[in-house]
Amino acid sequence: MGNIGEPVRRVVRTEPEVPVFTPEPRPETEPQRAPEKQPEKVP
Amino acid sequence: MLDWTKVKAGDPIEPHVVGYRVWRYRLGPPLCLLSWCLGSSELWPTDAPFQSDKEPNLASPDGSKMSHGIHAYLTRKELQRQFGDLASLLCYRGIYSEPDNPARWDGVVAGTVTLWGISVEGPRGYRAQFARIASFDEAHGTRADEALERLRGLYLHEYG
Repeated sequence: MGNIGEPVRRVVRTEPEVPVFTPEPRPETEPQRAPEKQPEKVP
Repeated sequence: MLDWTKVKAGDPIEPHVVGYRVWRYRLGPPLCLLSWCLGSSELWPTDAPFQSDKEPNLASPDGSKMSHGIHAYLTRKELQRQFGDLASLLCYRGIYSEPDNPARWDGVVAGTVTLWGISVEGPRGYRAQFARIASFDEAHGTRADEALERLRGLYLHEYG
C-alpha cells in the first residue's frame, strides 16, 4: 500500500493493553446459619 | 503475539503508535475488509489483530524490492497526499470484478490502526508486524454509509 519512503530505523513497539471485560464481583453475603435447636422439653 | 526471540540486540523498544491507512470492502454477504493491494483477497479478521505474514524488512536480503509489513502513514495528510481523493480509487474496481473473484470489492474505507511488534519506519510511515483497527473514518463506493456503520460494528470492539 503506497510508499512510506526509504526505511530509516527498526523499532520494537510494545502491544497496547486491551481492556478485558471482567465481571463485577458478587456482593459477599453472610452464610446463613442454621437455627439453633431448642432443647427438647422433658415432660 | 510478539516473538521476543526475533528482537535483535540494539533494537529500541518503544510504545505502540497509530497510523493511517486505506482498505477495500466487499458487501458480500458477508461484509469483508480487504487490504488495499488490489490483487489480494486477504481478509482482515474481526476477532483478532491482523498479522503480517513476513517480518518487516529494512532492505531485502535477496535484493528484491518487496516491502513486508502492514503499511500505514504517519498522518492523515500524508495518506491523502499518497492516495489523493479516495473516491477516485473506485475507478480500479473493474479490474477484479468477476462475481467469483475473491479479490473483488465494492468500495474503499479509510481509518486508523494501532501498530506494534517489529516496525520499520520511514519518513512518511510505518511497516509493522501487527495492527488492530482503531477507527473507520470515511468510506466511498456502493452503499458506503451502510458499509461504514457495519464495519464499525464488526471491528471496533474489544477482543474477547
